[in-house]
Amino acid sequence: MSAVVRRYLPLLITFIVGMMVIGDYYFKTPATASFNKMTSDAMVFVLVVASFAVIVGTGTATRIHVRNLTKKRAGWYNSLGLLVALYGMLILGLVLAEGKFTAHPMYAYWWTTIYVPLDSTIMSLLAFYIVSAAYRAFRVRTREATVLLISAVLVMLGRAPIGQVVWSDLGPITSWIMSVPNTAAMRGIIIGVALGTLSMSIRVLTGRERGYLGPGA
Amino acid sequence: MLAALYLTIKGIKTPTIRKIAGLEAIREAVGRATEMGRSIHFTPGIAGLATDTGPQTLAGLSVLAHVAELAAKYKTTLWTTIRIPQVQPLAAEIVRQAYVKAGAPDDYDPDKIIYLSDTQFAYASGVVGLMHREKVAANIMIGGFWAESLLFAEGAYLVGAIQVAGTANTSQIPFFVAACDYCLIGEEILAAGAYISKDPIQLGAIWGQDYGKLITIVLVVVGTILALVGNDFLLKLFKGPLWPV
Repeated sequence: MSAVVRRYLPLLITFIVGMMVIGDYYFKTPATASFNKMTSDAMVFVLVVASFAVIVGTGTATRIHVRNLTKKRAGWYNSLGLLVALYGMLILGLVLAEGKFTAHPMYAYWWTTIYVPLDSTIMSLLAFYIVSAAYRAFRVRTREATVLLISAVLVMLGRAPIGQVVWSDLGPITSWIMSVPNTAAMRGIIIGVALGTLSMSIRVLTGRERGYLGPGA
Repeated sequence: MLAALYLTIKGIKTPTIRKIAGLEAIREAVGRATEMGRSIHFTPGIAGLATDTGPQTLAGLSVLAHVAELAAKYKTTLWTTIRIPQVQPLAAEIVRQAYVKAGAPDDYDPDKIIYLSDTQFAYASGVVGLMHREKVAANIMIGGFWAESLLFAEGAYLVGAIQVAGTANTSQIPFFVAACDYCLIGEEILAAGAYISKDPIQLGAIWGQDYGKLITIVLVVVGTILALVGNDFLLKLFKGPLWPV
């Protein structure tokens, strides 16, 4: 494939499919029924490409971890664990359970006793990380940090049952902080993001934004 | 926005863009990693490409191109971790091209662009594990992030990494602001590609955004007045489709 085709074909496909999706969203009439059907059919390709990408991703991960094993790189035993878990679960769910995955008792056992607790454990780490991040953020070093500390203390106390016992006005103050300054700032950011997304989408559709195709694209 | 683009393409107006501290800090972060002889970690977030958060991933990939070019130039190891399978080949190609452009194609290592898992917390544990094993000196996170954002930020803080983070997900911005050294807020990440490339046409689109904001403010005011008098014309106009079946 020539360099020109490699550079411009993705841009052309992006433009055509993008315009199709936009057209499909805004024009739904009996006259455009076949166009709407064609667009919804084209969207199925997203699933097809995504499915192939999973195979590519799994292949890449396998290649990297097999190389870790064969070259006995540091932590090679982690790679061994990953390969056993990945292909063990795949064989159990896809081959032995004929694609019904959790229907296989061993698959269900591994899923509920290993995967689910591990997943929950990682998420629960957030509680500790929030405390350590908050501790650093709330240190009174600047005027902004002081405002952050005061508003955080008010909101935390206002949301905790003990806060209402200490001072009954904490509830309304918390509500005001959350619904007025906090919501105003968040809405400002959301509107900015929406416009930024729109602007970026126009740049991508018109082929002006090419950073995602690599440097110098 | 299109008018601003037109004026820029025709050379009638050459817009300038304000300094974005977070993007300026990327060079500092890569330089620090180089001085310390340690590696850099980059993640373009966990947003899928075919979703409304997809532009955030594209913005992350634009920054990846810049980071990879700097890493190739300074001969510093760059680890790129991926959650969405479709993003893996894109990221690999971007990093490869960056090494070629920097004149160091032999230094490109495809094993450093890792697809870890498409499950959120499995991916998070893989990233945090990598940060600890490699003792990364710089952690750059630009893209769509959800609950894993603080896991990454605190994981990197624990290994003493300088951090540049950015997301347009409003619920995660406070975590990045609290835990990272530099933070790109909301639309700033979407302007990253234009900012880095300095391409006047891309900058023109950013300039057009400001007019978009002005129009939005006017529409908010007009829409509020119309809603108060019971007129839903604007609501119907923007809801689409224009001509329902």
